[in-house]
Amino acid sequence: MVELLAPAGDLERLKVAFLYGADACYVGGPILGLRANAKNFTFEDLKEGLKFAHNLGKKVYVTVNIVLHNKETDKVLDYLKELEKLGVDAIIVSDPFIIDMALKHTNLVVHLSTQQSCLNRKTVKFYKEHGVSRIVLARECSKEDIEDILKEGIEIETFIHGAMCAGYSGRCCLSNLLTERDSNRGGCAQICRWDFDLLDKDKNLIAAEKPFTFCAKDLSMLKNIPTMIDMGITSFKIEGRMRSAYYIATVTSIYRKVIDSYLSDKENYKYDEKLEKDLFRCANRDSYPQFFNGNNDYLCSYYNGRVENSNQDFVGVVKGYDNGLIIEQRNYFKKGDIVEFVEPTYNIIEYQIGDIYNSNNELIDVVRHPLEVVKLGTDIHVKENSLMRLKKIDK
Amino acid sequence: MKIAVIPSGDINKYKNADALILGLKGFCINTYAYSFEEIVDILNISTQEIFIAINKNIHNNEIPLLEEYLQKFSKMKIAGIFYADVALIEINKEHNLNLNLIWSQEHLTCNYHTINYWLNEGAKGVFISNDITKREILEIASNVNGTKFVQVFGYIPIYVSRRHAVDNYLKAFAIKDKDKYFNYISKEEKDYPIVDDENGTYVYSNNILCSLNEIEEYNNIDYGIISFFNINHDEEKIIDIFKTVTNKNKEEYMDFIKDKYSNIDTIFLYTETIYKVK
Repeated sequence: MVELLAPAGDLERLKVAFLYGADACYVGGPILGLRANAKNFTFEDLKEGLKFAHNLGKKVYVTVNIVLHNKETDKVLDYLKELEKLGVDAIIVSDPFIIDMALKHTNLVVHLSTQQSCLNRKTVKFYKEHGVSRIVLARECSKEDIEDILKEGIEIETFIHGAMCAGYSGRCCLSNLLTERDSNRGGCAQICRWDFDLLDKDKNLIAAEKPFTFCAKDLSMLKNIPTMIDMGITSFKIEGRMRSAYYIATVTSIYRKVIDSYLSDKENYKYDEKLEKDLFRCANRDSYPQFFNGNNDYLCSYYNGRVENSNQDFVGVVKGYDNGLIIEQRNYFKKGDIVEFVEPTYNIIEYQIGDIYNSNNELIDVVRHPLEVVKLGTDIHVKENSLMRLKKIDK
Repeated sequence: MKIAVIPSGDINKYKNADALILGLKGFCINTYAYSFEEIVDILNISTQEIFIAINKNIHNNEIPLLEEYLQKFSKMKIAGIFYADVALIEINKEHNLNLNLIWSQEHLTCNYHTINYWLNEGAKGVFISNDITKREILEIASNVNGTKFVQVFGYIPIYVSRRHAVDNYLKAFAIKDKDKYFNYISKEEKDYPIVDDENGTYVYSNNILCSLNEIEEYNNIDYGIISFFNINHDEEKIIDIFKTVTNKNKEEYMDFIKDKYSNIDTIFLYTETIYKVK
């Protein structure tokens, strides 16, 4: 059975990911993870997240995937032992010194991080023989590469959705040089998304309609999910520990729906264009299957002058029902807006907002304040934790 | 300390170097690429130590050819192979090739524990990262027993991608009269060399690393590497300077280098990067 693996930047998003269909979540712990500037999990958060996951029969993996410098090496063993004590289901590691230490001194299950840019069967064989349980392949692998690597007989995890590093993971320190933020220790400033002037060898500007950038379109493998399931890939990974709960809920539930739909009836499975539309709407960035189909051309690149549409579709979360729907606000909405409730099973319920009551039970027309709790005067029932988003009207 | 040179082409310009690092075409990055036959010819005539750079990320379909080359190199008189991909460690073991492998994964060779891990797994040396501080380099040098290399002069590599960033850009905007191979990207008046070749795209530092002032502290390091990528004059003199520098002549040498190159720098040697933004 294929695993759907979602990112979670904090406890709230971990719970959302599980409610919306993830089989497992990967999270950053207090130290040694590659998203140093995300909120990340304290040991207490991890304890609660693990309890929540295990009660549902699901798993939590912790990233311990920085490239160590000398001064960080002393912290490793105590940290690994703490993670072992908490009962994490696996750690995701890049540095072989950490792998070695985890396997020699703890009972932790070790997954090799994509940060090692593992692209070939020989490298997979090496890590398998050294006790690694799963390999997160480099994003640059093609379908043929993956098919051959799978013959090595080890769990294989591949990315299916989200932002792409423009360079090989682990071999980029643009951020280090341009901002003094270490990309391999969690400080990446995403220089690959910056605009640059491209100059020729004599330093004359090569002028074009839009500036030069390394920026890659996002990865999206929605259409390829049936192929990837049939190939025997163990785990499908969604990128984005810094992403919002709305993004995680939408992306996770859409992939859940596609995976379940294909597995329940392979012969009659049909690709759902509507789901694709919803997926791209939530991401706000162009996407592409990237290297999976062997493509590496300009269609993979994203020349948008770094202008991205702000996504304010997501306006609230359903917190319950008490003579009306209780909503916690996430973005501005008002009376008369046509919204859709997205339930965890990706069931969509359309509704036009009528009466809105504030916490003093007074009628109001607009909901402006983040996290404000209001009641919608309606008798429709929607599952708790459903997302409320503005309905997109095609022009 | 011996001086090993990454050439920019004709090796006759570097006769006073102790060693040369030659990239194997199709399998190298950040080095000038020579065909297998050219390397064989150089090996036949050179009296210098010859290292081979097979330091790109190896894709699955490249493994058979790589195995073939490694088997051939194992029978030749080469000083060692700079590698980045673990596949080389595995192939070396599987075929019992006994190659002198030098771990050269440029931004990952950052601590002595991990370096010692690879030395235990069959590597014989390491090219220490050039995005760490001098203090860290010296700590590594004191705690590692294998052969140690550190870059002492030249542009440093800062980005490697399989994507053809320049070629893609030229094609996306239908720019036809420009060459993709060597250009610059520019930001805030700093120009970074960018190369787009058969293996992908590489970016280099805007400034040239020059460790002349630090070299006497590198007494635990076996080889100083000079990269002549994008540096095409006074090569012999630069090598001599690094081979003969002493406290007495250091200032004079530094003046010479500063006169020839306006953009020399210590880059990360005294600049510690951070990862938690406060």
